[in-house]
Amino acid sequence: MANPLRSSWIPRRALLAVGASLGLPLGGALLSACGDETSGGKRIRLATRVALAEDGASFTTGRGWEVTLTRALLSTGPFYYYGGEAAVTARLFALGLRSAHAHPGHYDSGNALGQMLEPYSFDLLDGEVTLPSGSGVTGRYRSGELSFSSPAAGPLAEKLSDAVALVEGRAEREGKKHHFRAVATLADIAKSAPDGRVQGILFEEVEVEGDGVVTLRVAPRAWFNLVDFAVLEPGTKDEPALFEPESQPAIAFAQGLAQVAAYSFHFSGGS
Amino acid sequence: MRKASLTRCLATGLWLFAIGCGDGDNTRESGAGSIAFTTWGEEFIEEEIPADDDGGFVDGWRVVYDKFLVNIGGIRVADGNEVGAEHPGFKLFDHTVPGVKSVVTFDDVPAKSWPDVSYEIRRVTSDVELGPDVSEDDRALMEERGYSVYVEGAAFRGEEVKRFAWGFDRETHYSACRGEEDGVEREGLVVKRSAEVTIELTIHGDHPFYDRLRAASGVETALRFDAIAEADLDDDGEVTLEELDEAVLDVTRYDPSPFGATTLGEFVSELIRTIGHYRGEGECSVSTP
Repeated sequence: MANPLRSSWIPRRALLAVGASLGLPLGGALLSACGDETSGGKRIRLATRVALAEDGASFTTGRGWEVTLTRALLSTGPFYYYGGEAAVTARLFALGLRSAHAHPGHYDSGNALGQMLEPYSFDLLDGEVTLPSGSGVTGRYRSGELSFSSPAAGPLAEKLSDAVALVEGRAEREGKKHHFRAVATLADIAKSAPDGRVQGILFEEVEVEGDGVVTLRVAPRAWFNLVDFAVLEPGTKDEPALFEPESQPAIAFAQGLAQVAAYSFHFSGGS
Repeated sequence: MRKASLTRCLATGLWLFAIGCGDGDNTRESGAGSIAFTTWGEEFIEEEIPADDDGGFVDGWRVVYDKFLVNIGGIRVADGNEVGAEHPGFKLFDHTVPGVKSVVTFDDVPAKSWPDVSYEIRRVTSDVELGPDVSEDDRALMEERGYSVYVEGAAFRGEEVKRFAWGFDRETHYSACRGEEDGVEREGLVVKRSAEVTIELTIHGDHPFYDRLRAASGVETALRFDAIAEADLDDDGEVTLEELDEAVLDVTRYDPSPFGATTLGEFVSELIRTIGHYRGEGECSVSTP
């Protein structure tokens, strides 16, 4: 009765994700072999920075919680930049449209144009953070990928240990307040983003003609959009309530970390 | 089955890289041939989506469609800027009507590889053609409500029955279509001299019930109906889209990553845009027309 071909659908879609995740190394090899435009671009240096999006530390979630963050530690791995268009939802979010107008889609990364390979760790609330520099080639940048990395490296490696995200803050709704601590491991995120790689992120479209700075802008609202804080104990500032493993808040937080809407890349010339 | 398929898919992926360098198909033969575009909703729409853990529902439900209306057209066959065939018109199909149905046939298409094949699912307008056994009432319903896709049916589990009748206004452009031909993955299609190639625009009726918006490697993805059944707030036996819009997405059963659906209504509405496929299990890039 069931279509015998049907059970292959999901693995095929999985392949698209896997293929895209392999896009840089395999695609890079292909591009070299074929002599594509990437190899024709001028090599450039790309400084790397991370910044909190406007209103990134205080926001209202999709479930009506007013959230204020007090700490947002991340452990990141390589960033990659591509010529292919971002996944559609990321573009729509950038245009300020509702997610209801977005849709799932196949993301074609296109040509690999740049990368920053060093793992690093930082607190998003510390202001703009400078990460190790990357490199690339000139060309039109339109999408990107960020990865989470474990164990953490860089300044906050000890605080993060094997976690890739540790976020604290308070959530308020209808007079109830919860102080919380959300922690996610690479394995948690990998359930939604293979290998902890978030692909199809919007790179604000730009023709890159020389050295410059790539800034990853992070909007944590997407991390908490579906979190049900009501199931947490109230906690205190000094002893916040932990998102217990496999609980609704923990699952929703990990899924949120894998959302393209939480991130965007931006380029500015000079460094 | 899934592991084997994944292996096959990885091979497909490597093939896709290979065609980037040219696989020898992209040459022009002398003469011309034909392309017959068809569409089919497979057994899942014609018969039922069963309750089983091998491609069916994992929570004991089964779904039978009474109507599965899709407005298909805007077909284009090209090689970069060179257009081999184009049909801007649309035809409304009911995929519960058994069998493979003709969309359009192009004759005298130059014999060569055409790597850029695209089509669309759009809202119904007054001038759409009607497919087999599609009534004027069906067309009127779609046009009046601005639908591109309309599905009607019921889900069953034991004595439980939940009916649904959902119309969607999303319009979708499917481009860069790629699929299998004679065991080989191919971008677009190849027209051979004095021969007809058949291209099936396959509609996947199980997609509205998947629990992920994008599958992840090594993670099980399943068909579910339980949460949809629970969304029948007035318990009248029919689950409406309005009720789905009220149902906050249960992340313990659904994963909207990497996008952002917050309700079951948004989730199902986004999945509906993935129903269009190419030559069975083949894929296209999805965008807004």
